[in-house]
Amino acid sequence: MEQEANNSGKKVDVFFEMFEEALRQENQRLKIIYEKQLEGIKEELIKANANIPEVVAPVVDKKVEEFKVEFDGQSGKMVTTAIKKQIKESQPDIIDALYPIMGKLITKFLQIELEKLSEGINKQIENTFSVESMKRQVFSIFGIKQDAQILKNANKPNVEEAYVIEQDSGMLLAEYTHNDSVDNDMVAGMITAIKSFVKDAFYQDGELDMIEYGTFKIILYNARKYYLVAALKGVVDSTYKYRVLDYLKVFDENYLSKIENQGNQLDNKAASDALTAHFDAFENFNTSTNTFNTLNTKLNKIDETIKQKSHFNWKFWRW
Amino acid sequence: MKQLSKKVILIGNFGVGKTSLTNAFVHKRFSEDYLTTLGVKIDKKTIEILAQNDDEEDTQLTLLIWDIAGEVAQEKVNKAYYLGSHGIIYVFDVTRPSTFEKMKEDLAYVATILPKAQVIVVGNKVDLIDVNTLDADLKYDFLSSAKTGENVEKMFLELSKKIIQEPA
Repeated sequence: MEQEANNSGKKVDVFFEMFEEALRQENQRLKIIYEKQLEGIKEELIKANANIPEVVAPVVDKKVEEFKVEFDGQSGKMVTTAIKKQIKESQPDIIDALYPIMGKLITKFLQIELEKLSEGINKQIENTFSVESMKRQVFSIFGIKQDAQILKNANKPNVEEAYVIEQDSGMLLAEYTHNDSVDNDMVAGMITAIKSFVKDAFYQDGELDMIEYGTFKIILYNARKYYLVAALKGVVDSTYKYRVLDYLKVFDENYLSKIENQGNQLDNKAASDALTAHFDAFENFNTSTNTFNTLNTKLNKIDETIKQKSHFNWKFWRW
Repeated sequence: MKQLSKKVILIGNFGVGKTSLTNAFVHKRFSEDYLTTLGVKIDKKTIEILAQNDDEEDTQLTLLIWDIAGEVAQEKVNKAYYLGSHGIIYVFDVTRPSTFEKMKEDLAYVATILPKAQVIVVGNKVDLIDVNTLDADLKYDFLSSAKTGENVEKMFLELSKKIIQEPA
């Protein structure tokens, strides 16, 4: 509690500093404007009233100088105090308003950074297996593997939702879901609308295969008259993305294509059951594009080999 | 109870009150920021339709309502938004003749894309005029007001019944 209070206090102080700086700049700007206006008025008065006693000019000069000096000190302080008071009084409201936004931004930033790091490590692992660098890197391979494992487990990607959507109408035909708070019917419609919009707006033959929404990554697979969709959460690198795309393709081949070839209509309930069973078994799915798992297996084999080598006869080696 | 999901589109000229009618029917406001960007806003409402005869079953119908922005003119709206619709609500503004001058052409165009869809024509903003002043030749199914709620539920219910009776 005390820690939270301190943090809140620090945040408010930062706001005060920002407001003070903004006010100082605004005061400076106004000061210049008023100075020019006053100088202009003074000149006009002198020109228009040649009969005004010369004593008036020094008085005006003096007032201008006083105004210059007092403007920052008086008006600035008064406004700053008033705003400080207002902010202090509405501090809980400001914190309530800012925290969700900041939280989302930080989550999104961390996710992107972790994805970049994950991609980098995957590439590094791939490079590790080149013939040239194998000898050089064989002893450092444990470190790389551990990093990759920790990273993968820290924010492991998973499939939150999967849908079968009718392409023409955007109607949801089948679903696999872990999240009741999402209105899947409307999500299905919006995905179809976005896909149509992108195609229409960019006049391209290509396919939109991923939409990012908040911390979700929505993977789309075009299965003739259906869209197969998977909504993913966690750190989704390209390896995982292609693994999911491959898995959607497998569902198309094993289920949708068969129904189409038999000339049957898709039964929504049966399709949802099939989709659920399919994605329940996703963890066991491995493909040639699943580089991480493939390389992980290789790493484990090398790990075992190195352990066996540790029993090597070092006396013989020295000799 | 039989459960069905159907797609309904609201079309008509700019400013005739399509979005207001949808909001009045759905009673739930979703973000409309994307309406201007994508040119479509999707809402959903589930209604129950009681069977007319003993040998029929009551129906729980989920309406996916696509509120399509802008003109009906062929080149201005993404045709994909119309596809797969089971029902069409064509809305015009009773206070602006320009919004129903092209009604025949618009409906003929939509019929080429959706020949089997059920259609109802609605004159909106009826609260702003004296109904007796309306042109006697003007053809419509309902006069509605999103502001007062007049005929809003009724027109959606009527369309739903038509969809169930004669599925597209």
